[in-house]
Amino acid sequence: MKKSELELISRGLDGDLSPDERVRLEALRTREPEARTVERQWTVLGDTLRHDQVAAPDATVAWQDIQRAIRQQAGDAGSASTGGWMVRFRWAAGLAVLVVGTVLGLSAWRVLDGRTPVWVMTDPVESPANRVEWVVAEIPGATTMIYTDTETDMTVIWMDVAQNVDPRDS
Amino acid sequence: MNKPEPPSSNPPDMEEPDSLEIDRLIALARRGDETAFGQVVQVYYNRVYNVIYRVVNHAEDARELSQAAWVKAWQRLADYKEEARFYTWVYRIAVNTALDFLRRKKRRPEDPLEPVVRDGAEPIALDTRRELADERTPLDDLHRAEIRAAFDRALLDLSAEHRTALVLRELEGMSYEEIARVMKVRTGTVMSRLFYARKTLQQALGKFL
Repeated sequence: MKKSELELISRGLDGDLSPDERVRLEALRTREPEARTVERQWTVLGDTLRHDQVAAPDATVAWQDIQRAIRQQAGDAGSASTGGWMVRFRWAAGLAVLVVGTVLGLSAWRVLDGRTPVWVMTDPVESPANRVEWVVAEIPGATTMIYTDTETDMTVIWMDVAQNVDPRDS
Repeated sequence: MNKPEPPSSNPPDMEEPDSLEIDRLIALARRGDETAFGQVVQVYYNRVYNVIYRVVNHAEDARELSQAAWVKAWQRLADYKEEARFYTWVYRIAVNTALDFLRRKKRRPEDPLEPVVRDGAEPIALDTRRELADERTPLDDLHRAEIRAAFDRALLDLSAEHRTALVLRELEGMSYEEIARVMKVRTGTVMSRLFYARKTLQQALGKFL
């Protein structure tokens, strides 16, 4: 028998034929005794597979196992997520320890070396106030005076210029 | 000879559950209702298990793979498109789980003769002619065991893909389109796989047919 004829029989068993193909299959059955034999044998094979089923585990018990597995996987996923945070937290904690350790180490080294520790150095340092002690005025006849204004506590530089003297002449 | 009855879309002994009820349970399950999902599992568990068993031919593997398939189904419920039939969707997960397992193991299914308890172990179609006898003799039992072993061996000699197509067609009564969706192949491929599987089984079991 031709391959196309065998395929026709196979598709006929699966109920996948057009009306034209059904007519062709019927003609094949009438014409070819072998076609009938093949069709019967393939039908028997299918029936065997259908009737030879195995006993599945009890569905209720199986569902309990499935439910446990679902919850376990959900738990594992949660742990994995928490674990991720823990890993990141460990990194952050490690970094913090490193920074603090470095500062303490440097400070100890400076103290042992007789210098000011790092953190003490960050304190504001008192510095003497700026003082104006003298002023040079290159203006002919000009006199200067420096004093502290009692109200504002600001240093004032007072300059008197002589009359009839044009500063632009200097 | 009369034309054989075309296989029904539902194989014998397998009642199609009320699809509206299944839809309702699925909707609840998608909202996180585990109990509803459990009811769906219990409706389809035996069928999914049998398909997987026939693909891997190992009872314990089939049990574990069935469990893995249902866990995946629960986790992927959000991906389920309601226009598809739920069982087609579940079978796709189950078949992929079983085929992946076989590919990973890179082995042919083992222990074809492992002692499994079969439902309705009495009828086996290949043995139909002998069932006509009123009384069975030890020789009949031997013959029956021989046939069963030969059938299992022949089935295992098929590639996993050919076997799966045949199982989905004969065991589950799926159409070419449904099998194509489950196996992610074209319907033409399904047709040729079924043809090849039947031809190979026929050649292997010729003396019993």
